[in-house]
Amino acid sequence: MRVEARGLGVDLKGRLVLKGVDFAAQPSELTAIIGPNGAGKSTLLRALAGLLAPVAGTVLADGRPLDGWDRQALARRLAYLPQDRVVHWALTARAVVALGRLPHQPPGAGESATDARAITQALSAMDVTHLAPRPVIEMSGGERARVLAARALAQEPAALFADEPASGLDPAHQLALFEHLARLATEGRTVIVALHDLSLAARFCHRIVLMHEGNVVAAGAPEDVLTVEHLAAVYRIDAKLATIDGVPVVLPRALLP
Amino acid sequence: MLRRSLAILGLLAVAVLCVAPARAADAPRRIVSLDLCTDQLLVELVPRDRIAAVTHLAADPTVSAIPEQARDIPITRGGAEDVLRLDPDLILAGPFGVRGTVDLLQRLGRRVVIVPQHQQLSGVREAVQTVAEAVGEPARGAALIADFDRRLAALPRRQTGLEPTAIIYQIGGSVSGSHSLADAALAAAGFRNGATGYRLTRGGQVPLELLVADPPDLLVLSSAPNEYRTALADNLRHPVIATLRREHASIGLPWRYWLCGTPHIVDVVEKLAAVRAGIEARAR
Amino acid sequence: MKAAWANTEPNARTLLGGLAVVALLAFILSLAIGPVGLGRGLPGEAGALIFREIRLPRAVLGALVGASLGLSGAALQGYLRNPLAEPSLVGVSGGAALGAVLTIHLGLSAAVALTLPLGALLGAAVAMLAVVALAGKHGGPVTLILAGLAVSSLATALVSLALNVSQNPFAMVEMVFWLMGSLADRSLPQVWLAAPFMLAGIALLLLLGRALDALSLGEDAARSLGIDIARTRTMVVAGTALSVGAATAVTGIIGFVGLIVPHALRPLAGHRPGLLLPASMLGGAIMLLLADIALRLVQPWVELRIGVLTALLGAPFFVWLVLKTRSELAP
Repeated sequence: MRVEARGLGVDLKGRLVLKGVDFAAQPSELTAIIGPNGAGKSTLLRALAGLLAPVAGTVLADGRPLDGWDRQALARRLAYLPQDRVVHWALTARAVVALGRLPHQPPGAGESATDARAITQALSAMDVTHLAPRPVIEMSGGERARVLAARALAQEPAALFADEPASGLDPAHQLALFEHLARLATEGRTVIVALHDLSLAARFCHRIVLMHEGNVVAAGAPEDVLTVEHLAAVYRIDAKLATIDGVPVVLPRALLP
Repeated sequence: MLRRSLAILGLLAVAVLCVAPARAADAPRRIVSLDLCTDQLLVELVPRDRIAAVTHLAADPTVSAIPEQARDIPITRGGAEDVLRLDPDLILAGPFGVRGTVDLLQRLGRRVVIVPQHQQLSGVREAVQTVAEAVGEPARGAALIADFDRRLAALPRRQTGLEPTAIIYQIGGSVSGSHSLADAALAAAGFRNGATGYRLTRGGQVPLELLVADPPDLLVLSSAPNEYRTALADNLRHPVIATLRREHASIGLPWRYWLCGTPHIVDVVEKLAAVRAGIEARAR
Repeated sequence: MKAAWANTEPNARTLLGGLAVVALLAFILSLAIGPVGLGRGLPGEAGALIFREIRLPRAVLGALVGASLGLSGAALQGYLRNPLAEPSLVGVSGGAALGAVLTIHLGLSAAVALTLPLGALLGAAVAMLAVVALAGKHGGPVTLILAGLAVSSLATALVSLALNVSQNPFAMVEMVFWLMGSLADRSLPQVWLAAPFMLAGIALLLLLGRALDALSLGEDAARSLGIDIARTRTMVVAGTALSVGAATAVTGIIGFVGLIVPHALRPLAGHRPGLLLPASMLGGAIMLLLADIALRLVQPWVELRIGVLTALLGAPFFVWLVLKTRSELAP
């Protein structure tokens, strides 16, 4: 599913957070939205997922404006993973993952065989099968993050939007998660993540969008966006780019005056 | 002979002249009543111009037996300041309520008469006498009592040994129990108060079920079913009450006649006695 | 692979079936308890009259009102994501009582009987909207309790004012009826008056299962799962106002049922807000019917109002709940 924004303006609590943003993400690509705190990454992601009404411009999914989509149809194709990993009740991991099947279930229907299969696959993809009967609120941050990611996967979406999905995860699980996201992308989905970790972005993403103060500063392949000049201008850091054993690394070397 | 007669006449004249003004000077001229029951007795014993104020309840037709007569009399809300403003020479009060006000007035040197309210017919006589003496109208009081006694004596005699039961059913399921004026009226009319027959009565509330299971010979309703809009009066509008009234004798006797021990309670006794006579006649 | 975990998820049918059976038993028991016992040896039609006009309305109201209170408690907790929410604590019952008292004392209900439940549900809706506005979307448990306290205090103060101003000689006693609730001596006409509204409210609330399940993940995730949040809020407000409003109009305020029942049943429902809805509906009916039965059994020795009984059970429970979640309440 192709996702685009044209001239997007979004207002939060009276403040213009996104100013005339143009954005496009293609199927089979893992697109990263990066930028400093307050740049508008989360806001852009939420607007693309249809969770915020823009004050200017439009968001299109598969060429159609979002407000033209049926809510349920959109939910079947688009999964959104929020940054705050909140689960309000002592639900088991399996119950949480099962929530991802809601858009596919007609009202009042229970769990079907298809649903059960999707849940099982999602649990195993995120390596949380062994955690299935345990309450999520008793889990560590990383385990909870993986369970919630599994929920999004259970939705079997054409597009997956994730806000800081790997923050707080240990290096092994960070790698595993991003490897999985990249694989999802190459299987044909549109995957968009907002994240802070520049090295992860460099390593796994096909496309990077760099934001600063509500505007898109640069968009394109990682090597075109992650340049010393761009990073200095946006992050005010002196960065060094390198490749170690074929893996790209971005090192924030020092603060700029 | 003539001189003796003149002397006696003269003495009599002096006696009358001495006593009469004394009587007139003694009788209070600005009387305040702080209680519904004393209000009603006062209004019937003294002319209007001697009443300084009564309570707002005296003219309220739901609780007063003489609302018309009390209509244009000034009202006091009962606070000590309000009472003192009227500068009364006599204050009548009941045994309940306004205790603080009464104490205050007494300490300030005002004449306060507490009128007892015994829950028996004999208490009515005592109350009338107390008020009549306090306001200086003993003759009028005696006349009221005489009328009261005459009417009681004129009630239809009991023809049989039958003692039909009656229940006075009120808002919220309350019934008048024994040791109440209502109970005394029932007894005087020849009824047995059925309230004592319901073993499960506590604080005088009867569940509707018991009323249906063991209905009284006479159901007395002290308010009309639609008189009070309150949710509390829902029990009076319950369908089973209508059924009971269809199947048994019932009578509506407004509350205002039994709230206070005034001679008006005889109106109630007369009506009840007439119903009792009817029940006896049907039984024979 | 038949997953091993499938056995730890609650079987909805067993839970709801079991609760339904208990509710039916409680209903039948309620019909059999009363000062006249089973009514043997009563002359003529007296027994039938008692059952049809006195016991039946009481049992039906006990079940419907209990169901409304339990269900609305579960719905409020699910929607507000707050385990301390409950119609009486949140001020909805107080608003309903105020609406009812005003329609009675303005003479409206005497003219048109239907205005009584309508006035009550309007009062309930206003109270509910006020609390939601005060507590805000992101209000935590403390904010909600404070908002509910403010609204219910104001409502009960206005009820008292209305009764005083109406120059009703029974004002104080009637205050007790509204604040402590009563199922005694209710009549079939009252059941016909309130039942349609309660059933409508119950139906609306039962439709919220999916939305409440999705809301476990927060509002954004729920929206992305296809839930219309604005419509959900409307249904919560309307359903609560209809069911709790009509219930309060005929029985006065009965509190804590909506707090205790969802908590007791939550573990059995796997903590799923959706399943908790029908479970709490049945559980609420059971609780109120049993409380009313207990009330009638102790009547000969002490006079107790049903709201007092539920408060005697509920207030200590509420304190325990607050202590248990104390860490989450720290600002």
